Parts: sequence; C-alpha cells; structure tokens
Amino acid sequence: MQKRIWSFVAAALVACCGYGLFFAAQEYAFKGDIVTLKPAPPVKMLQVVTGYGRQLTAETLFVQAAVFMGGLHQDLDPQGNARILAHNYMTAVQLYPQFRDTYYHAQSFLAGLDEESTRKVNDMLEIARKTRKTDKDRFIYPFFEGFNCFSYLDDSKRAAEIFAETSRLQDDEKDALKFFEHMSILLRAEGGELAAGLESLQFLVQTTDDPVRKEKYEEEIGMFQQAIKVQQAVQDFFARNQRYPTTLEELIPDYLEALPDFKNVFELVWNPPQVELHRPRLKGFQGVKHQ
Amino acid sequence: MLHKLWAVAWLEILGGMRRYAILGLVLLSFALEVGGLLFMDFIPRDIGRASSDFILTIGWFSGMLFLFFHCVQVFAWDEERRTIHTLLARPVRRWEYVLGVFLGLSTLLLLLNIILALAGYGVLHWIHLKYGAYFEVFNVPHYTLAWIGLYCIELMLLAVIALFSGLVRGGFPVLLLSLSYYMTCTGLPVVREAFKGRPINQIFPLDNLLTGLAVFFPDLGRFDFKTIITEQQGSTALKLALDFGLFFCFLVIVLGATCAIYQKRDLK
Repeated sequence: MQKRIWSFVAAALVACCGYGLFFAAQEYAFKGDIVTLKPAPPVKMLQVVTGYGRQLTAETLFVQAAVFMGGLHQDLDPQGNARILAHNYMTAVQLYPQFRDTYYHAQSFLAGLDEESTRKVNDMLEIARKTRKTDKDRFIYPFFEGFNCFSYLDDSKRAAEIFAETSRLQDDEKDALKFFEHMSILLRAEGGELAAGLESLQFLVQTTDDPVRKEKYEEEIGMFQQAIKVQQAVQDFFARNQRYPTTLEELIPDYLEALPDFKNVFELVWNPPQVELHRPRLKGFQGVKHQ
Repeated sequence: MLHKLWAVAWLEILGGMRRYAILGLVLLSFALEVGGLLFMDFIPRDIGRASSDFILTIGWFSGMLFLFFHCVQVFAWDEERRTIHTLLARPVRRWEYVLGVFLGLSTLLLLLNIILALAGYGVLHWIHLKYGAYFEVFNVPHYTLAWIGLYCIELMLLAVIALFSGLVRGGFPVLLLSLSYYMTCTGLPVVREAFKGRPINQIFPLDNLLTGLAVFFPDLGRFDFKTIITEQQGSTALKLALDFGLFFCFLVIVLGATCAIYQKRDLK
C-alpha cells in the first residue's frame, strides 16, 4: 500500500516537473512572436449572440484594442494592424453607438494614417452624428469628421457640407452652431464659393452680439470682397482674351492694380476657372496619400 | 387560495436557499460586481457608462444562470422525484402548484437582483464620487428602472420555462427549448432590421411575417434600460407604459396557458 502511494507521488512529481519544463521551453520559444490583433466576429452575429450583454461586448472589444495598442512593438508597422483595428472599432460602434471612447480612440489612432483608415473613422463618426444628438460631446463628432475631410482627405466640399448640416441643428448652444457655420463658410471659400460665403458672413455679422467676433467677421468680409474683385477681373480677362490667365499676376495692371494681401489669414489660390481662398496649412502637413 | 400559493412558493424558496450552488452564484456575482472597480480602469473616458453596463450585465448573467440551471431543474425534479404528487395529494390544485412554484422562483430571483442591485449601487456611487469628471450623471431612478427591466426579462423567461416544462418532460429538453426561445427573441429584431425595406418584401410579405413572429417572440431588448443610467433624460412615459403593459399581458397569457396544460396533463 505504501509502495503504491510513493509510486503515485513520484509519478505526480515527474508530471509536474515535465509540465514546468515544457512551459519554460514554450515561453522561450514563443518569446519573439509578434502578437497580432484578432478581428472581431461579424456584428450581426454578435448582436444575436450577446443580446443583453452587447454593450459589455462592445466595451470589451474596445478594451482589447486599447490594451493591444499599448503593447505594440516599437519596430512594428503602425499600418500593419490598421485594417483589423478599424474593423474592431466599427464593430464596437455598431454594437454600442452610445459608448464615446471608441470614437476618440479611432480618431486618435486611425485618422490620418492612410485614406482607407480615415474614411472608416469618418463612417464611425457619421454613426455618432446620427445617434449621439443629445450627447454632451455632440459637436465633437462632426468637428472630427469635417476635420478629417479637409485635413486628411483634401475634401473641403464634404467638410463644408458636414459643418453646414451641423450649423442647422436645433440646439441651445448657439455659439457652437455659429462656429460651424463660420467653418462652413471658410471651407466653401476654399471651393471657390466666394459670393455665397460673403452673403453668409454678412448674415453672421447681423446675428452676432460678440463685438470681437463681429470685428473678425467684418475683416473677413473685406477679404472676401477683394477676392470677388479678383474673380471678376479673371472673368473680364477671359471675355477679352478667350482664355484664362496662367497666373493671377497676368491680371496686373490691366485688370487689377495689385493682388490683395491677406496677411496670414487667407491665401489667394488660382484653380482655373475659380479663385479660391484657402486657410494657410501648417508647414510640413501633407494629409494622407490617396489610393 | 393565496395561502396555498404562498405555501408552495415558500417550499421553493427554502429549497433554493438550501442549495449551495445558488449561494455560490450569489457570492460569485457579488464578487464580480465589486470587480467592476477594476474594469473601469481600462476605460479612459466613458467610465460611468462602462461601469453601469458591467454591473447590469453581471446581474443579467447571474439571472440567466439561475433561470437555465436552477429553475429548469426545479420543474423537472418535482416530476422525477415525484414530489409533485405529494404536493397535489394535499388540497393544492394544479394551477395553484404552477403559480406557487413560479412565485417562489420569482421571489428568489428578486432577492438575487436586490442583492446585486445594492452591491452595484455601492460600486457605481463610489466611482461617481471619485471620478466625477468622467461620470457626471448617475441617475438613480434610471438605475432602478434598469434593474426592473432586467427583472421583467427574467420573469418572462421564467414563465416560458414553466410553459415548456408543462409541455415537455425532462430538464435537458426544457433547457434547450428555453435557450432557443431566448436566442430567437434576441435575434428576431436583428433579422427584422436586416430585412426592413428590402425589395423581397414586394414579392413575399417577409416584413409582416417577421412582425407576426415578434408577437410570439417579443423583443426583450425593449426592457434594456442600461443606457439611460448615465443620462438625464430617459424613456417616455408612454413607451414605458406600453412595455410594461405588454409584460403583464405576456405573463398572464403564458402562465394561463401553463396552468391549462398542467390541468390536462398526465403526470404519471
């Protein structure tokens, strides 16, 4: 009987030692392996399976992605996992649109990485805009989406549309609505819509009580009027010469005395056949490569 | 009549309290809810929402374990161990037995939910005080409503378990049927949303068929009030009245059908 007990103890010890050895060997062998993020299952499947727990599932997906981001190797290509990250964030957003952290994380880590990732972030922000209308961060989402459009995707027209839509919302935050309307005007000016922009600015001046803002808008109205004069000069040049000028300097001195100087507020850009007013970009900022 | 109902219910309550598995479930759920204090460490901004979702989901999970692993067995044991015959040999009518067991199990569920709700409130209150900047709104009436909604889901499932127990013998088949019913209730809204406005509806009235199915498989998500815990505004009074009205009618119909089935059933 005692012999059996000792045999059993010996066998258990051998098994434990063997397990420990294999464990240590496994840890050593797999140390250099790069951990990749796993894609989340399809959102419809998760909606059915998780039921009442779908919100926690979305939060768990977010936590998984956030922890993964913290554990990335230094020499790992940041775009290597972008596609899976975007898919997982989108799944979390579709499962639980009310959870704000997903939008902020997606904007921080994916927007500006490349065109595809930026567009996916904008799709998520579009969901936020539609579902988070009473959220205290409700103006952040259209701002991010518009910012991504004009900064990363070079799509000022779409950015202007987003800001214009936001400015028309029924909301008590009038200052925020005016901010978006102003942004929309400036971006429309980048697309050459100078006359419409001027009219909107004049309306903004009448509806604004803040004297500092009023002064700023009036200064911009003056610049818009000068830009419109340049546009008119271009039309006159075309009427006489049946071609557009190669550069705006060709308009001097027959059509214009001098090109207006907008200091650092605007840049006058000639994009035949329209004259555009652009906001100066930060030095070295190149947006994303278009695919 | 009520005295007999309560007598049967009290038997079930005592039976449940004596089971160590249920005590273990309560303790485990309690520990998991307190663990919510650690979970919120991973959330940078929406701490309030994530914490309240965690608390309620633990409550839901515990409720589901209780329903599918204890309640299903209770109905099956009474037949397998012949205790149902002992009970019905006394002047306890069959429908009194059904309603009594339902009352007992729903009381146990209520106790479970109250314990977890109080623990959850403590956790959320602590987080709300410590991280007020990220957990600005902790609406206690909405928190209570969320637990009431969860309890309504559990009661509806309990009624369905009682119905299936009357129709089918054996714990395992009842478990499978009840799980399938729950999955159908969860999945049907997703399917309805997927087929809404599709061209196939012009050939075949799929939309109407799915709406008809929803009569028998109600959308349990309508009782999910988790998301309003961190919001000032909640659901409208009309929507709440409709939801709870449907809940009461569902219980009456399903329990009524169960009583009718037990009345006619051969228990041998």
